[in-house]
Amino acid sequence: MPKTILTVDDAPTMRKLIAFTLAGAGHKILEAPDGRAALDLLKTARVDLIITDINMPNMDGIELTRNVRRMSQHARTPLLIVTTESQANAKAAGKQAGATGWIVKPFDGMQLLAVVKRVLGE
Amino acid sequence: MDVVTFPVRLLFGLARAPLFRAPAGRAISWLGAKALAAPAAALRQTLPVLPEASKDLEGGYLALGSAFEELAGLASELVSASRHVVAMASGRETGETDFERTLGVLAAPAEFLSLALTELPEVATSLSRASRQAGRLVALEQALEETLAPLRFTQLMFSVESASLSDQARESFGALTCQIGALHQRVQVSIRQHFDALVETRRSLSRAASELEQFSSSRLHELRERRECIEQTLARLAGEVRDSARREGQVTLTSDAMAAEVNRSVTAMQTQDIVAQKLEHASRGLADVAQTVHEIRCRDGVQCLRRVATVARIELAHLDATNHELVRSQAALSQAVHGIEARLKEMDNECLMLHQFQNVTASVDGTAQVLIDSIEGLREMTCDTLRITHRLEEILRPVQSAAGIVTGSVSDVAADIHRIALNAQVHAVQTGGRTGLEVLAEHIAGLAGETLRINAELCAGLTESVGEMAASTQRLARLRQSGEEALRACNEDAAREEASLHGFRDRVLAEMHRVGELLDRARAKTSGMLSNLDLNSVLEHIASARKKVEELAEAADALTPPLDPAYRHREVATLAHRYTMESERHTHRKVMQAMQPGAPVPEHCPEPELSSNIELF
Repeated sequence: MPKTILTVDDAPTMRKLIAFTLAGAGHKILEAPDGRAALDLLKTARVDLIITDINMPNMDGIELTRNVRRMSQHARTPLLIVTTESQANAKAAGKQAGATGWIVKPFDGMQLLAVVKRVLGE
Repeated sequence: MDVVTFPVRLLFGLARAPLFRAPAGRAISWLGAKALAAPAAALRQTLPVLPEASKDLEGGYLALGSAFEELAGLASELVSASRHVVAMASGRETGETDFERTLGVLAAPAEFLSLALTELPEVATSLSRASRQAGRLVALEQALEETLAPLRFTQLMFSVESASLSDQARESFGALTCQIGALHQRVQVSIRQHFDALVETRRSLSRAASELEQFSSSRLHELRERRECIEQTLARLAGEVRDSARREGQVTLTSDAMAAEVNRSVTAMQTQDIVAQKLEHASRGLADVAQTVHEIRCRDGVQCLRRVATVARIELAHLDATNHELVRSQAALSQAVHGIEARLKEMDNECLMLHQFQNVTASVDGTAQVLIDSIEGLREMTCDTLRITHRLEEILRPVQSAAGIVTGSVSDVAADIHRIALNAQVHAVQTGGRTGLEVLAEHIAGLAGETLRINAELCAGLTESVGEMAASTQRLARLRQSGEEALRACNEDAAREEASLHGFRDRVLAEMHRVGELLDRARAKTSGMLSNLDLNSVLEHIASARKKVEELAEAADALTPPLDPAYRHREVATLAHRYTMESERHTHRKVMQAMQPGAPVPEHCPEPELSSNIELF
């Protein structure tokens, strides 16, 4: 069943790649260039999954995750962090902030789809 | 070793002694700052090229991403259209067209023809039998003529024998002889005519039987040919269905392979983001190096020189790694584009085999033609069969009435003779039993008996013939009725099926043209994409920065003695936090190890496993 997925990344190439991969599976994609824009969008939009980068201007991915978890309507919305970072402490910060999973770039499109399917409970 | 290097190295040695540490350090700072000022300034000037390179790369990859997106859309449309073509060719998605139903149109006339081909030879056999029987009956004419020939003689004998009788008796016998004469004359004319009709009947029957046999034989041959043609067409269609099922599997395989190539490009294109971050990290490191050079006079010169030498080497390695990563990404993308090109070719040549699909449509067209021809052929044959049944009925109708007339005529003759015989016997008795007259009367009675016997034989033969003919007529009538019904059904359905088959062929051709068009568009798109893969300007930017870093690194290396393990470990620990990517940390460790003579240097940077890139909490 098609879902609405928000992808947050300051790199337009990454947003395009994630959107391309997920739209191919029939999902509707929303895009935001940073955490703040994503939060604004989440106030009104109904979203089934959030995929965010960490290093972004205005508001980073960890801060975005914390804020999303504070929003009652998105407290349980799955949130995946897609980043180049792979250090254990960064992952721990993401987990503590309330992320559902951690994906290190470069990711495989098929694997991203499989993870998305899994976190969406399909 | 130049004029600066030697004194600095000497000062490094002096700085180990606590007494000279401070003045030696100041001297190192002064000399180091002087030696590194020019390469550091050059580096500062070149630093902005790295964000520029990053921006160029983003622009190029964005355009490439859009092209890949468009290509993937085309590929998806292509796969879908290809599947549709294959499904149509395999007879699964034929829309309103139904090959089974079309073949069903042939069923009624084919059934009629099969019946006709069974019935007509039997009718022919029956007519042959009737014809042979008529031949045998014609032979009875001779017997009848021989039987009735003595009538003439009895006429004369009655005149002779009655000459001595009274006038009244002579008159009676005279009337009798007149009757005999008239009868003889009638026999001669009428029987001959009727037997001539019988001869004609035999000829007609024989001709009809022969025509029927010839018709059955030629039509049987034609029907067999037609049936073989239909069977061959069905076999060819079955072959196409099998082949199309195989092609469907290939379309799936090629489609999966194409998806894998697109996926490979998705992975490779993420390099842009990775490289952008690496360049950002490198810029930060290099800015730190330039700042350290700038601060060398007011800080610990020994530490600053070591740091400049170390960080410059590390960033140099990072720039090399970034360069390598870009080239690898370019190769992977180029491979993906070539892979997609190859898959498109496969889709065309191996899976779809458009030229062969032309044959498929020709085959569909041919199938339609065969069906149409078959329907037309069967229609013609049915019409021919109807014509011959009509003709046979026409032949048999007068034949049956002629046979009735013959038997009636012979029967009349026999009755007349019998009457004459009775009269003769009565007159003979009245004349007082004159022997000659009695003998003549008995002879005539005998002739009447023989005529009756011949008539009985004739009647029996003719009844048999007429029975055969009646049965044949009934069979032909039934056959004609069945043929008319089959023809009516065939005429009604054939036109509809013909239109449906032609419509189907047109739909297959249209879809194939769409596939061809999509293939052309996809090919044009891939050839355009390869030109977007030119990263030369980005690589040149990085190379220009690298050159400046290398110059600075070489200048710093020349001033700094080999690093001791304690410094190496410290620097690994303090600088490591800058590098957030596993590959960066690996490069960092590699450089630090290389700076210690004799330490093992890792040969390659292991690529992170994609499967280990994902962790769900």
